[in-house]
Amino acid sequence: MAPKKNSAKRPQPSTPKPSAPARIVKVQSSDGHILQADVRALLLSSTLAATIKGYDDENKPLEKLEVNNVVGFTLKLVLEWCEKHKEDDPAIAQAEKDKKNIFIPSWDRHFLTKLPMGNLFDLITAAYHLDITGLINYGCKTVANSAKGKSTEEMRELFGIPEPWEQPSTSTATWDD
Amino acid sequence: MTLYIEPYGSCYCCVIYHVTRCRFFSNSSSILATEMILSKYPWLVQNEILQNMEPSELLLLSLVSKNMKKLIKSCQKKRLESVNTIVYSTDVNNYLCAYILRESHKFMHKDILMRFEEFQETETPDFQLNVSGKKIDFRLFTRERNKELWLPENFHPYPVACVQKSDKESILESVHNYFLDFFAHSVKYYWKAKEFEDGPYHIPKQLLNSYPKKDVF
Repeated sequence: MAPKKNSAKRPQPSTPKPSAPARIVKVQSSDGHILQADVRALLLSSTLAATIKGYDDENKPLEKLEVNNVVGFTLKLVLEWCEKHKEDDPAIAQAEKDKKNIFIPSWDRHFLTKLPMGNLFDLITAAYHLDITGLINYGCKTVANSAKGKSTEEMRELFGIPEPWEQPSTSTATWDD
Repeated sequence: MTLYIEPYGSCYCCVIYHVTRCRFFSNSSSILATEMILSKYPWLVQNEILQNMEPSELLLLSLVSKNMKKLIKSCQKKRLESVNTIVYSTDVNNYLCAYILRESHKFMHKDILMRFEEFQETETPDFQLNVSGKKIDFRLFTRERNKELWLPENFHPYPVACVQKSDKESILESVHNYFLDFFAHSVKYYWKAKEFEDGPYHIPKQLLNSYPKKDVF
């Protein structure tokens, strides 16, 4: 039986390739916590990939990567996501970015929706600093989805928009009405 | 208040418990404000979040605060400018509906922005908004509330303006003025007059004054 035509609509994770043994490096968060991660997972971050490449080009031993703008708890979440997606084709995330409707796979949906909003905020901000396209895509889509079917009052609470009477009186206020 | 979460030795359950406990003992608005503040995201992330929202959600969010409206108008400038046509028409239940008409893959799609429903004074709206200087009551049209209706898979909730008979004209004027301000000036507005035979609707003055008669069909 011929495969369905629309089976290629949603990007599928690439099949695991037989590869060399994992190369593990230490990653240090801004608050001094040290975690371990597979280099293939870290390569999902363009920022870290550039640093790793710099070490490799100079044949320097890579002992520890310092991530100065992400705290330990958030870094642990970032690494968990990257570990799950380390086999993915980077082109998938790039292609998803340009699509109007991003499809969030079930593992990612579960991973992101179980987080309290504050942690999701930190995770997306970390993904932005580390330039992890896939995590930004899914994180932003999750935030946008959380606004669905909400009244304006609920949106105000969700996005931390103060009530008009709570606005600071200065002209430099961020959300003054 | 400051929410502190132990970075290590915590599982998700502990974090959720911690947040719940803080919420219980503190003012709810302050704890929520510390959870996720959209204005604190980097600009590109704000843009990405807004990009993932439907037009009706952006419209509703823009009505929450003036600065949110400014943010949406600047972040989503290209998207708002890509809107060419907004149509006022009636839906299957003969309610007035405003939607964006867009062509995608040679098919015409309708992105509903807002619906107008006659409302009894005894009914309770979900929330009230100031739209172009006029306070209008709103409800949300959601899948949960309309289980008896068949709704397409890609259905998105949208706002329903609660219209009282005596106020029909001014509500429509205010909403139309808001559209004129929110969307680009190049948008063409159409009034599908043929579909209003059962009950004559007021046509917004701006729509009559600004556009030639051929656009009101």
